[in-house]
Amino acid sequence: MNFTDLCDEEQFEVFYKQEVNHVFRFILIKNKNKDEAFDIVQEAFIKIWENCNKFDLQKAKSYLFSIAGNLFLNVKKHEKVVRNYENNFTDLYIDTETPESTLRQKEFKHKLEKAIGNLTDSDREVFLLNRVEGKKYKEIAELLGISVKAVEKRMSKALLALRSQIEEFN
Amino acid sequence: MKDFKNILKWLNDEMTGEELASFQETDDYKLYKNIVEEAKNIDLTSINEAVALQDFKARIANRTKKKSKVISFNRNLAFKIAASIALLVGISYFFFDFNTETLKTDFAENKSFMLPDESVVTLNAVSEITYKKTSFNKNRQLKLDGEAYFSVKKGSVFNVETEQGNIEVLGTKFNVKSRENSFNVFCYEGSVAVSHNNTKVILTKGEGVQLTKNNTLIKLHNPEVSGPLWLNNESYFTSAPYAEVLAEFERQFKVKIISKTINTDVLFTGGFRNNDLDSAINSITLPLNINYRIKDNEIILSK
Repeated sequence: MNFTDLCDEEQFEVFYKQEVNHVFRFILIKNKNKDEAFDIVQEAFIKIWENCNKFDLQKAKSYLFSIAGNLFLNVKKHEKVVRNYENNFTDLYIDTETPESTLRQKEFKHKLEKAIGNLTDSDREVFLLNRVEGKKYKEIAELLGISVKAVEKRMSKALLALRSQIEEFN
Repeated sequence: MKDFKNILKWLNDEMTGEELASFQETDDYKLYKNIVEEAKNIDLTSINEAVALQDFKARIANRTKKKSKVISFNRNLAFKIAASIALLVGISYFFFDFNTETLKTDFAENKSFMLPDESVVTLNAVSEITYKKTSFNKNRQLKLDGEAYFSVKKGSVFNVETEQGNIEVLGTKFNVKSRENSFNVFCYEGSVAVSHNNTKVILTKGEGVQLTKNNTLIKLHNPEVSGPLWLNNESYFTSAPYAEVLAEFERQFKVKIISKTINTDVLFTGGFRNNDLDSAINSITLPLNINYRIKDNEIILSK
């Protein structure tokens, strides 16, 4: 049987492990606070688990992102963190660092990171979802609830802004 | 840049091979190539999936509010069904012990369960607990064979029985390892009373006990840890007999270790990751200068 039954604990675990980092980064891109992002992610998975019989795998995936996105908005709105469980884990987060081969690359990356930081929130979100998460414009549009045209517009804005900031370096 | 169409197409992987080849000749491509490629290497934090999953399970278990589902169906039918089930249960009670609940794990897995009183127990590989379903809330008592981490809901006395000793707590977090050649208990929160033979030891946060070869309990201290490492898929040992390390290795990887030619009484401090056999076998053999050979499901150790 190939059908994924999300109410089955093992299959849910597979789903969880597959998606957890994607949603986490999706929220992290919007907001730099790791703990807050992690709480939102867990909260979103709980919602999916509680309603596991209501969707198939494909739907669950997109619901997961939209629930997380909404939670993010709500947390932002009330400026309070959903913290109903104390997490004591010390090695929850993995900070990866890609090794750079040359000093110049290192400098360039540093510069780029700074430039990305200077983008507007909405432009940065689109740019990172496409470049880091490898999402297509259509997927991004669905995730954010905007049109593909709007995604393309934000992407263009982001690229132009990055270019003008990086230009003097090249 | 007046025409972003191509750039956008390129970044969305929509270009055919030909289109891409000619696009790569343009100035636009050269301008954006570095930005676009380097952006992939931006350092974003990621999550340790296994740890996150553990936390997720604990949260689920912590949810006290349970949804009560409204089920409406034919009362008459419901009565008939209930009556037949009651009869069946009555009869089968003589044959099966329905009241005893057994929770267990196999090789290479660990699992979390919620007990009737909402305490959470996580079982390490090849471990088992049993308890009486109907009376558990009144009399919190269970049997453990193996290793488990308990997060006990505050309330009446909570009792864990093992082959080597009993553990008594009120509401707290602690780990118990009760295996053929090892017994240890570590307390991460609250306090725990451990009895072994005729001695009783009280442990508080950051304290533990370990049974030694001559059958006495020695105290352990480690105020920094917040939970057992195996919850993060790591096995760690402090001055443990090598045999115990090998036994844990067998449980985590479902392999057989042949250790006839080496001394397994030596003490070992160190650990291994439970999800990477190659690096794990190196972690436990290199420090002791032991050679190994892997043959199917067997690992043969030699000096």
